[in-house]
Amino acid sequence: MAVPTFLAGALNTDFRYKSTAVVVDVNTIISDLSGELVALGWTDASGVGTGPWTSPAHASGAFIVITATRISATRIAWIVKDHRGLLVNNDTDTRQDIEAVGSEVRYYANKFGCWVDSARVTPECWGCGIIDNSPETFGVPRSSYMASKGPRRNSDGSLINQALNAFYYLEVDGTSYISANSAFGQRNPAIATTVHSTFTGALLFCPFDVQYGVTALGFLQGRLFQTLTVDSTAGTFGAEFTVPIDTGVTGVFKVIGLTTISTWRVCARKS
Amino acid sequence: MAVPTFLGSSYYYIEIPGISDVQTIIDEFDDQVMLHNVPAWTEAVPGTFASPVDADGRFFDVTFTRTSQYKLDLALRDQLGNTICTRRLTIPSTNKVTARIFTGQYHYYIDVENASVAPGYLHGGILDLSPEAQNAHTHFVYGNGSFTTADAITSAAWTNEFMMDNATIGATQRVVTWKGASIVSIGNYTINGARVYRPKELYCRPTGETSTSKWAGRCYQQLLVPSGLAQGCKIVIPIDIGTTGTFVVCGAPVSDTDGYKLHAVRIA
Repeated sequence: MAVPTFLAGALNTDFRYKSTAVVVDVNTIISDLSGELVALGWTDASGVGTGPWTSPAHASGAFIVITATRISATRIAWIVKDHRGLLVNNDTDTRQDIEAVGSEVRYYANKFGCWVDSARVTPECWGCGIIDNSPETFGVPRSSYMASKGPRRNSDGSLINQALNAFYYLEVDGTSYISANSAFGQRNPAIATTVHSTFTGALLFCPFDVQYGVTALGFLQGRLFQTLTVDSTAGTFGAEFTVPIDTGVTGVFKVIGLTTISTWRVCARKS
Repeated sequence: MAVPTFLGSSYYYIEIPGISDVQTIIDEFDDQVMLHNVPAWTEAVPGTFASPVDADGRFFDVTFTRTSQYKLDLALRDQLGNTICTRRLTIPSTNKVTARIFTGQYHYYIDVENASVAPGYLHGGILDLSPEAQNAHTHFVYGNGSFTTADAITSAAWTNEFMMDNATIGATQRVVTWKGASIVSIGNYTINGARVYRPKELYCRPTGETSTSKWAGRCYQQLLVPSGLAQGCKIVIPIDIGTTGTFVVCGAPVSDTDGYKLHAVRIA
């Protein structure tokens, strides 16, 4: 076998994890994230760790650009653009808070995206990325991207877009990014109460599939890099799992703050 | 890579056109499992065919009853003798039909193209529990058919299967579907237009569980395929590097809006 494309790579070369224990000002998020992304080959336009940051260009020409803005000491705003300059999180910006007394913030960065997790009492998680569409040719017919719709919306800062299926994507023939809660590809039976484990208790881990949420014909765009989904009963916020990803190879994944959809939660690669 | 376990078992196939009596289906099934399948099935009691007992002692048996020229009943039992389901397949009296019989050491699938009326089927088998041990649990026999023995179309949609839930046998929508939160026809194609095929996986309740279902396994030699494919069409699917499998699409007796409403079973 081989490690699947979306999980391939080495720690600190292709993906990184960082945790900062007490963040009292989002400027720390900006500088921390900058350090993580630059270490993975992203470029920092400011040169002083304030972004915007541009991912390494994939062989297909795809890259993603992240801009962070300090709204206040406890609120940060994110803007994501694709390689064509289209606004991915098509809501002017999306926002995220930390506690005034300080929050732990966890960063999961890879060459094609990232998750930033504010470990508040009610966690607030934001992320974005280029989508892996292997085994098909990357970027054909076009590269696909996603970016969180939340956790907080721009208009009033309300915390309403925490669910794992609240993200922006581009529809077939779309000219601007949209959000639809059916864009997260679930695997579920219709039975009301399920636990995604075998009878012996081994948890099932699945890719985070991104699909088209509106077009009834149904197109699978692909999956997020270095990200998996896990049963929500076992996958409490911050829980870590060692997951076999190839014969003799494991990866450690940590549950992030996106909230549950249909008994699934999201975990991102830590090591 | 390697061919997945659920596609590594035995498989046999025959298509019989011009059927006007369900006895022909019974006879052809008999011939397939007794004279062509390797490992072969057994017939300890006339009309009751038992699948080969595998290394973990797993098997099932099926008993056919020609209820009438046009009605075929099949009773499926698990390795403990529990009747998992007794279901009926009917053929019309107004025209001849084509039956496709898929068998193997871990599965059977009788799919009938009825022409003037909706397709009919009888299917069942043993689940592949890999990568866990194949004897990790005992709830591994599943089955279903188009009609009840009272000729009612209930629990016949592709998402339904009969299995042992805790200590009770019943049908429920236990087949894993792949879809979005509110729209069902999603993820069936890549954005380049290639079809996406999925294993047919089932959930059921372990012994002692009164409400919670868990992943029970996947059906051997079967895949879920996007809707829009005609019953009987053949599709060639990569199943390993340099290896393909040929599958035949089976009919759906119940209209279903879900994009993965069809089964395809291996023939080559």
